[in-house]
Amino acid sequence: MRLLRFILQRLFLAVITLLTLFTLTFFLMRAVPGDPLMRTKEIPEETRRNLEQRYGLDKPLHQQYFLQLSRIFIHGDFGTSFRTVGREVNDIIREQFPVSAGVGIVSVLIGVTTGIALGIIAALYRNSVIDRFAMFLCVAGISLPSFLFAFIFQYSLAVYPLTQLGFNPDTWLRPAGWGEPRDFIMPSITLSLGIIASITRMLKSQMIEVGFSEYVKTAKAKGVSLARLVVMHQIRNAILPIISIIFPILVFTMSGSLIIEGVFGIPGLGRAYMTSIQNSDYNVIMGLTVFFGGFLIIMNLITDILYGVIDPRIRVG
Amino acid sequence: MKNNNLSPHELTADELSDARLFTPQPAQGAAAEQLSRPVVGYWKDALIRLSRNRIAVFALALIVFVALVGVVGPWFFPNTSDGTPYENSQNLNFINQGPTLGKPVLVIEDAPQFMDDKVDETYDFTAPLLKSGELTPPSAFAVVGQATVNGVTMSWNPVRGVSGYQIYRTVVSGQPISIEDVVTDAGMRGLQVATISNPAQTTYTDSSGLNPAEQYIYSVVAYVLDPNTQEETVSERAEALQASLVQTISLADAQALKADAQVGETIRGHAHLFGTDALGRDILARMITGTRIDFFLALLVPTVSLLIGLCYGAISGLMGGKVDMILMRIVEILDTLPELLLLILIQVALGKGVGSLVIALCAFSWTGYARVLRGEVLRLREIEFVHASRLLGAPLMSIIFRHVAPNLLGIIIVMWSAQIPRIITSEAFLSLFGLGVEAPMATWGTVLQDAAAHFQQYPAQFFLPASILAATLLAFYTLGDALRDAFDPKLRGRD
Repeated sequence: MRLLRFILQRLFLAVITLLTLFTLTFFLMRAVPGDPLMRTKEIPEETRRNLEQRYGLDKPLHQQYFLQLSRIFIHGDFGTSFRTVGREVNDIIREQFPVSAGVGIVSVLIGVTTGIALGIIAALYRNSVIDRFAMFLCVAGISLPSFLFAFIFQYSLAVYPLTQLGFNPDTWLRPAGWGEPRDFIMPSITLSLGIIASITRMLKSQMIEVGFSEYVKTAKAKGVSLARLVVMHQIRNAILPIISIIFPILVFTMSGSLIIEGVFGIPGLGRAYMTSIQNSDYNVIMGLTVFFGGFLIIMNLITDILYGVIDPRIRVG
Repeated sequence: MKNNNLSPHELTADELSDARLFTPQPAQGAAAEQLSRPVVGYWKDALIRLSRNRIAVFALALIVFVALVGVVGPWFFPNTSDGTPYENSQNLNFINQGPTLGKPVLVIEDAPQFMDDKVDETYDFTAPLLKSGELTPPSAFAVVGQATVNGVTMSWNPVRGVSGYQIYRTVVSGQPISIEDVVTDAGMRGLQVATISNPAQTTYTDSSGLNPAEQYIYSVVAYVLDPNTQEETVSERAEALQASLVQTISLADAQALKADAQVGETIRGHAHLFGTDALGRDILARMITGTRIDFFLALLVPTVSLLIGLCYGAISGLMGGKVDMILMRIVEILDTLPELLLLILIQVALGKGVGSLVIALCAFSWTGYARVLRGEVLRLREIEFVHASRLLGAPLMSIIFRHVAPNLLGIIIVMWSAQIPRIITSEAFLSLFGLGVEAPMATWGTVLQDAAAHFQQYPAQFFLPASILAATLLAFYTLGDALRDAFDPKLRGRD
C-alpha cells in the first residue's frame, strides 16, 4: 500500500515537472526577440498570414499555449520546423534519437562495467598502482568537462595516427564520421569516462564502508572464505546504492553527448539540437527540449521507483 | 579490621597521627581552570587542517596566480596602432601561427603597395600560334623584390605565339617536393592561382591567403587556345621557383613596438607564447583577458545563487508547515528539470552577453543552497545551544550571529567553492554552442570555440588554452574537496 502511494506520489510529481518544463520552454521561446518568422527571408504579407495561421501564431497566447500543450502531450506531435518546410520534429526525433541512444547505451555499458571493476579493485587493493590510477581518473573524469576528452581522443587516437604516423584511413579510427562500428569507439570512450569516474568513486567508498560493518565482521568471524566474503557480503551490499546514481549518470551522458556529437560528427539528437539553435529554429528547439527533458524526467521517475522498490527505507520519506 | 592486601606494611598509630600526612592542598582557584595550550576554534582548526593539505595549498596558489595574471596582465599588453584592445586586434598577415617568442618582421608602409602588372610593349601579337609540341614555358621566371606575406610578385620573359600563361602554387609543408617535380609533373603543381590571358604580360602578384610559416613553389606554364575549337593546350614543362615569405608589420604597429622603427628595417615582432588564432589575434592575450569574465562569473554567480538560496531556505525553514511544503516541492521540481537544456534555452531567449549568462547560470543553481540551508535552519532551530542561548535571554540577532551564522558558514563556503568550477565549465560549454558572450569579447570558452573550428589542422590552438582551463578546474575542484574535509569536524585527527 505504501509502495503504491509512493509510486503515485512520484508519478504526480513527474507530471508536474513535465508541465513546468513545457511552460518554461513555451514562454522562453516566446520571449525571444521577434517572432519565429522574422528571421526567414522577406516574405509577402499574404504568405506571412498563411504561415501564421498554419502554425497557429495568429491566436492569442493562452490559446497557443493550450493548443501546443494538447498537441504535444495528447497527440504526441512536436510540430514542424519553421526553417525546413515540411520537416517534422517527430521525424527528427525518430531518425536521430536512436543514434544518440545507441552511443549512450554503449557508453553506459562500458562505463558501468569498467567503473564497477575499477571500484572493487581500488577498494580491495588500496594504495596500489591501480587504486592510484583509478583515483586520478576519478578526479579528472568528474572535474573536467567531457568535450575536453573528446578533443584529446580525437587528436591522439585519430588525427595524429592518420596524419603523422601514416595509418590507413580506411581501417583506422576516423576523426569524424558515422555509419560504421568503428565510429562508436571514440565517442563511447569519451562519454564513458565520466561514468567510470562517478561509479568508481562511489563504489570504492561504499566498499570500504561496508568492509567496516558488523555483518562483514560477523561473516569473517564465522570463517567465511575471503572470496565468498567479498562477493556475497561486501560487493552485493556496496553495489546497491549505484542504482541511485543511474539518473545523474544518464543526465551526464546525455548532456555530454550534446557537444560530443558535434565533435565526432554523429547525426544524433545533440547535433540536431545544436543545428536548430544555430538556425534559431524555435519550434525544433522547443520540441527537442520537451522531448529530451521529458525523457530525462521519466528516467528519473524510473530510477526513483526502482530504488523505492529495492530499498524499503526510501519509501518512508 | 586489617586488610593485608591493601598496604604493604601496616601503619602504626604514631604514623597515622602524623599531621604532615593530612596537609590540605593549597587552593588553586582559577589557575586550575587555565588551559595549558592555545585555544583552537572551529575556524582556526579548519585553517590548520587546510594548510596541512599540500595539494590544496598548491591548488590555491595556482588559482591566485591565474586570477592575478588575469587582473594585472592586460595592463601590460602592448599598444596597438588603431587603439583596439590587444586581445582583439587582428593581424591577418599572421594567422594560425604556432607559439613564438617573436619572429623577425620587416617594417613596411601602412598599406602595402603593389606594382601594376607590367606589359612588354614590343610583344609581337602577329606571330602564329604554336603547336602543342612546340610550346615552351616562359623563361627567366623569378621573384621581383622581396616576397612578403602581403604578396609575392613574380616576372618572366614572354613567349611568342601563345595565348597566355597559367600560374600555380603549391605548399611545401613537410612533404618531399622539389622544384624539379613541379617542372616535370603537372600533378604536383598544386593550386592554380591565376590565368593570364594577355601573352604580353610579364608580371603577376599573388596575395591571397599567404602563410609566413610556409614555403611556396610557384610554377608558370604557357597555354594556347585554339580559336576554332576553344581547346586549351598547356606546355608540358613549367618554370618554377621557390619563395619563402617575409613576415611584415605596418609602420604604425612597428612604432608601437619600437619607437624609432623605419620602413625597410627588420625588427623583432610580437611574442605569441600560445600562437595566434584564425584572425591573427594573440591566443594567450585572449586567455588572460578571458580570465576576467570567467572569474567574474565564477565569483558572482555562486554568490547570487547563494543569496537567493539562503533567503528561500531560511523562509521555508522558519515558516514551516504548508509554506515549507509548497516551497520545497517547487525546489524538488526545479531540481528534476534538465538544467543544461534550460540553460541553453534561457541563453537562446535572452541572447548572447555577460548579463544573460549571469541570469541563465543563476536561474537554476540556487535550489541546492535552498535545500541544504533549509535543512540546516531546521536543525539549528532545535539544537540545544540555541535553546540555551534563548533561555538565557540572548536577543535574536545575537543568536543568529553568534550561533546560527558560524554554523552555516562552513557549509556555505563548501557549497560555494564547489560551484565555481561548474560555472567555468558551463561558460565554456555554452560558448562551444555559440551561446556565450558577443564577439569579439574574449572568454575561455570563446577561445576554445574559435580553436575548435579548425581543430584538426591546428590542435595547439585548442590544447594550449584547454590546458589552462583544465588546470584551473582541477585546482578549484581539489580546493573545494579540501575545504569540505577541513570544515568537517568528523574528519578531525584522521589526517
